[in-house]
Amino acid sequence: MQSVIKFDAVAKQFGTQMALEGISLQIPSGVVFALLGENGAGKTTALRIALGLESADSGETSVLGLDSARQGRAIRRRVGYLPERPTLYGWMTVDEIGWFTAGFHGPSFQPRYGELAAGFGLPGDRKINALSKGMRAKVALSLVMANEPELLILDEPTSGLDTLVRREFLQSMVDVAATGRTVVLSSHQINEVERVADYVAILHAGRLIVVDRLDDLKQQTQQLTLTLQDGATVPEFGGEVLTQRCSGRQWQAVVLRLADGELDRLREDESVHEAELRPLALEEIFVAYLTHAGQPAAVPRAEGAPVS
Amino acid sequence: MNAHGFRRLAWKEYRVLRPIWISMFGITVFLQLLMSWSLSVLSTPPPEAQKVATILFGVALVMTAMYSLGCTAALFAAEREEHTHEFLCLHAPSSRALIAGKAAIGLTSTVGLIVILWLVAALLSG
Repeated sequence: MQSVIKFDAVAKQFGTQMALEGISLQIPSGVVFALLGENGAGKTTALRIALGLESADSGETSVLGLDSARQGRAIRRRVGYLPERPTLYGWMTVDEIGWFTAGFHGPSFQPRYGELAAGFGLPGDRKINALSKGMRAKVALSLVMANEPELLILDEPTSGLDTLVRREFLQSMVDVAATGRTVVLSSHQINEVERVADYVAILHAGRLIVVDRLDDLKQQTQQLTLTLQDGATVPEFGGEVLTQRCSGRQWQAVVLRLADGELDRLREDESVHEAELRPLALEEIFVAYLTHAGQPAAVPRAEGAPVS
Repeated sequence: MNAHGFRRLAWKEYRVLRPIWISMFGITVFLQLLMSWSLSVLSTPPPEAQKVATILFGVALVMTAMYSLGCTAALFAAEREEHTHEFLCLHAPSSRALIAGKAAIGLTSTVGLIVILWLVAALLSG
């Protein structure tokens, strides 16, 4: 699969704060790619470097085959970017900002913007300053999508949107990806992302701690619960423990890549009274990885991930 | 930037500069009227027409210079202050075209202001 965005050992520092620590990542085309991470993890910085809006201290980034450091404007012409806090001219009306922006794009921009704005139920004659936060987000989304870009980069696109519109919007991102275009979104709404993302990457303190297909990540990361016999200790098993906690005789852990047949073997182990394995929601996986990354031990990486 | 883009940028800058331009024009004409009246009524003997004209043209020139400073701030600094430069950066084809467009519009409005204010000065000084 061809990559639309490539990060190669990209590092960026703001003063003494390390924003990105040599991240390497390839985002394939035609997918919905979710970039997750807590506040200040480096998601926005990574996206801005890709678009040529920030320069990296070291490493290389390319988008659609163009070098981000030297061809930022050419990239931005081909990419739809919705920043976390979109800035719009508050004194313009909804119709005026569409008309104004259309001057910099092709002839199909304005009719498409009109369709999108009408679809979002935006009042054309209302000044942007008089709109609610959610409605402003919809104006910004309409402007980004009206150009029908090859690649959509959306930084927290659903913040401020109500539940129904958020769901509708995320579904429309799946439709966009179905047409062969790529959607890269960063979000805090992990449960929402889970329903639409094909790939997930988790950033923590400027480091890429996991990148994988969502299905594979969910398949490989599970919760193992062992109820131990009195005085028994947790037996050895084939798999990597991300997080664990013990309460009385019950031992619970998020495990990565539990080896085949290990559950049956644990059930037969003398020290184990009961063993259960349950799939995890993306949010639980996310928390487990962040907790694990906060520990001094080495950070695991899921197998088959598209990271170099 | 194509003609469409330039026209729309001109429209945006016109909307931004319009209140500044109108205010500066109004204030300057008021000052010119005040100067003209005070020179003719309060000075004894009344000054020569050429002296009045020089003062009124001077007022027009100073106020236009002030407008050009305000206009530059509104066109460039305010865009940064309100973070709308990023909006333009994401949509406009090149920074050079944007700067050229803004400079052309700022210059045109400044020239327009000085021409009108000099006409007012010429009328008032007879």
